[in-house]
Amino acid sequence: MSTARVDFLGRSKELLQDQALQIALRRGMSRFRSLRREVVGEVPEWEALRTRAREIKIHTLKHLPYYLRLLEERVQAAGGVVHWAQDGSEAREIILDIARRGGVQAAIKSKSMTTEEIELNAFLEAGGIRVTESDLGEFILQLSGDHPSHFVVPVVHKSKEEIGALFREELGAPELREPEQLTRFARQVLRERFLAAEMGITGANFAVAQTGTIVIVENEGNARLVTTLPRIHVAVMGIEKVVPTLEDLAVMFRILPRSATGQRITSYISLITGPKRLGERDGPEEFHLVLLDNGRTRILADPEMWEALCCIRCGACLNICPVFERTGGHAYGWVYSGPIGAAITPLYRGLEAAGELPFASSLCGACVEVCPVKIDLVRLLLVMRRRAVDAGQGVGSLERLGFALWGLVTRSPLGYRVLGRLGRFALRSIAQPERSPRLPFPFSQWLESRDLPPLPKRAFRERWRRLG
Amino acid sequence: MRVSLFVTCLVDQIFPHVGEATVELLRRVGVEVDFPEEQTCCGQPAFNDGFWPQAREVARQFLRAFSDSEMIVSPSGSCVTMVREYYPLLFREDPKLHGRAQEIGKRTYELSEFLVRVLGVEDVGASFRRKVTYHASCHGLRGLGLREEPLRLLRNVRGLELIDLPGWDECCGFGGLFSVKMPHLSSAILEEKIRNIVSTGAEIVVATDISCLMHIAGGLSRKGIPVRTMHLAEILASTAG
Amino acid sequence: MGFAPPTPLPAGPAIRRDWDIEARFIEGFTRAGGVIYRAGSIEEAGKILQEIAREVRAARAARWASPLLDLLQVDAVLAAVGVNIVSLPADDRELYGKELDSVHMGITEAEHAIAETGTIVLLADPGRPRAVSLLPRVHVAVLPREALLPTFEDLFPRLASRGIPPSAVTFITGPSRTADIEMTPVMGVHGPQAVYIILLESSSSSQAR
Repeated sequence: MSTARVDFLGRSKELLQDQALQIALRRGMSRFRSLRREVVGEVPEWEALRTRAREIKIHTLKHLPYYLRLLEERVQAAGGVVHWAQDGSEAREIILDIARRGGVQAAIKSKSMTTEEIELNAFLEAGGIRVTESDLGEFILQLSGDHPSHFVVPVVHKSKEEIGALFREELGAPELREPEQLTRFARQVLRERFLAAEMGITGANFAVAQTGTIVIVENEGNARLVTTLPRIHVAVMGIEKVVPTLEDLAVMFRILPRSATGQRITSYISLITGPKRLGERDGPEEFHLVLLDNGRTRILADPEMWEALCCIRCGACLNICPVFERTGGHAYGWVYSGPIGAAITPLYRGLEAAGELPFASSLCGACVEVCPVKIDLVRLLLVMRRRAVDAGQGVGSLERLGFALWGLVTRSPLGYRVLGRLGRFALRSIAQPERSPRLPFPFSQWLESRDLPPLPKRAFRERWRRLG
Repeated sequence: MRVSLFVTCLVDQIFPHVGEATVELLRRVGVEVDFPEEQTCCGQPAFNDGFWPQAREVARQFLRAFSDSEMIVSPSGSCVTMVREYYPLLFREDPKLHGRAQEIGKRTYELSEFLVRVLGVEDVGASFRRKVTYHASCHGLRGLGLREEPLRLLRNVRGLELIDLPGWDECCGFGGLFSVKMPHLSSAILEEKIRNIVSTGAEIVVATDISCLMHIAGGLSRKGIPVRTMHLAEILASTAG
Repeated sequence: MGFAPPTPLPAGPAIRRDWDIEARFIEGFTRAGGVIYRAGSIEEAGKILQEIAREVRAARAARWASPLLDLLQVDAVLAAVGVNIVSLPADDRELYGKELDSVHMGITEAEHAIAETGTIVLLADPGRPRAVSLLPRVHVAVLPREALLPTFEDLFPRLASRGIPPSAVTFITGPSRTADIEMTPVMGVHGPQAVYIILLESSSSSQAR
């Protein structure tokens, strides 16, 4: 996945034809939207919370080195170990090393997009560590060798029948069809893995610098098990996730669950500070926090795009996006999808690989309205489009030529008038009802499902004189 | 009061009757209208597609054409969003023009915004006896915050039966060049918009942006659905029974 | 470059607090699928605990070491209905896990609760292991009424003032759940399928001590 060039156009065309997927996405995203509307509606100070959440994020990003240093100090004071990983490769080595030194044979994970970003599982498996994903959706994906198609409901693209068949084939399960039955079965299988694993690997939704605490927000309880039963706990976190104080969590707890799943709060939130204390019967003996850069400091220094680091990975922009609803996450080719993914994937993976993504949007702006930290996603996409054009990506040679000419002509009133007359004349000749209209590419694409408007003989400005 | 009409390239070249309706409407509410003939396009098509230098060339012409206008009114939410929200971004590196770019946005208004927020008028004396449903164009809604204004104006049109459109605030799928660069997605989004429109039983769908209406009309026509599209200006200018 | 302590952000917006705290708490917790019983006395709490044990057909239970649970005489109360309180191994992690996994009911206290969201807050320590509220399929938490706080902002200064926080502070709102399969909500994925709160209105006993 990491070196392949994103083919959004091709993939999205295929996915649009997948009727089962379309139904699943429609069901999932509309459900999220209506749940979100309800829980946001009950918070009269919602806009103030968004503003505050954004303030917290911006303040932290402006002083990131300080807060990261403080976080490190506090985690260490609590008995934890902090590792700094410049990129995915370093992070993987660090984690494998921790596992080796700990004599780990089996690791169990809770859902972490950051670990997908660095492609951790395959690396650990190759290093002789058996890795089990414990989040139900991720577990299912692991069995099918598939990738998540959404931040929060990673397996929204699969039907219960598909999952039932998967459990039969891969786990020797009996004939099970209902979500409840499938879930019970998975619970049993995963229980064994939780009890046997020597190492637990998680992400972190936030880290509190003031106290050296990482925060995991979940519903299933698997992250709690992953951080409670195994001897070693490794938390992998992007450096932008730190917040200054515990009080800041109050705001985050109000906006994240509502934006992500339309819940007032999730079933569990764990605040973990270092390893277990002396005398405690459970909790890890070793706590490791791997702080991942992987391009984040570069983005932080980017005066036009640093705002993207405010993202708390809630998925609200995915849920409201008319494009995402019709394609799902797989079209975006990487772990981050939807509007935020379209904006940041080219930043992380380069414009050559992902320059098409910023154009995968009608710029409707619905995402901007729902983003709990008020990221101006439309502006980010516009900036990335400009960068794509400058890098020769995402636009064809016809477009380049077209706009070069258009620019020359349209900046002059005379040129504009001439182009207008010629254009209307040409279109009128094409659009005669007796003839089947044909237009040059890419305008031919319009005609696939839409008719041309009727064309006037004279432009407004020609008629203006009569209007006096 | 006098305003300069920013007619927009799409209305000028393809939907001139919308420009005419806009002028007629403004005059009826007592506003004098002039038309700076040097105007061409706001530059949005190029800007949205990442071609900022070309957009800047064209935007400079806009600044020139309207430099003497005290107030600019336009029948297009997306073009006004371009001028107000994005000209400062487009000219961020030009110390001379950045100031002018910021300033011109303060005196450029979309039509319904101008009527309701500047003139304080919600009843323009229009009558139009039809079943109408309203689609909120994205730029007007989110770029300019036009949540209520078009609806208030429509509710005061005599004889007009306004039917709520399910998904009224959802995109129609046009997105400028998106409509031809990602045509499969654009059409799929349009399909849903058309389904919603048909479900209302309305005869007419109205919006503040002709670009959306052109897209919707193209789909309705292709499907042979007899619902018409009209711009807000046309309905507000109507005094027919 | 960014290493000096920055001026902290000023305080954030106020959250409305005109709730009846108890009503709000109950509404939030039950809305999330939890069950709450009110107990007017220690004895009543004991009876409720017995009821729950019968309802969930528990044969084995595990509990926290806590003065409040001692006051409730949890061991005796449960023994009276045939529930065996298991003592958990201290030095063998694997055995501990297996033992607790075979237990039907885990009984804890809730040191704090937050009315805003209907959430109980559990703090880990040597006598209060995390997995007691996690591995068994039923979790029962005894919550003293005085522990109810209106919002998160009322809780966090208390945590921050402790110096180094506990190894784990767990916020629990209802049972474990997922909607991963076709967006259908299912309770009891990895954590408990059911969570009960015994809201202790008064920790007085009707009997003299």
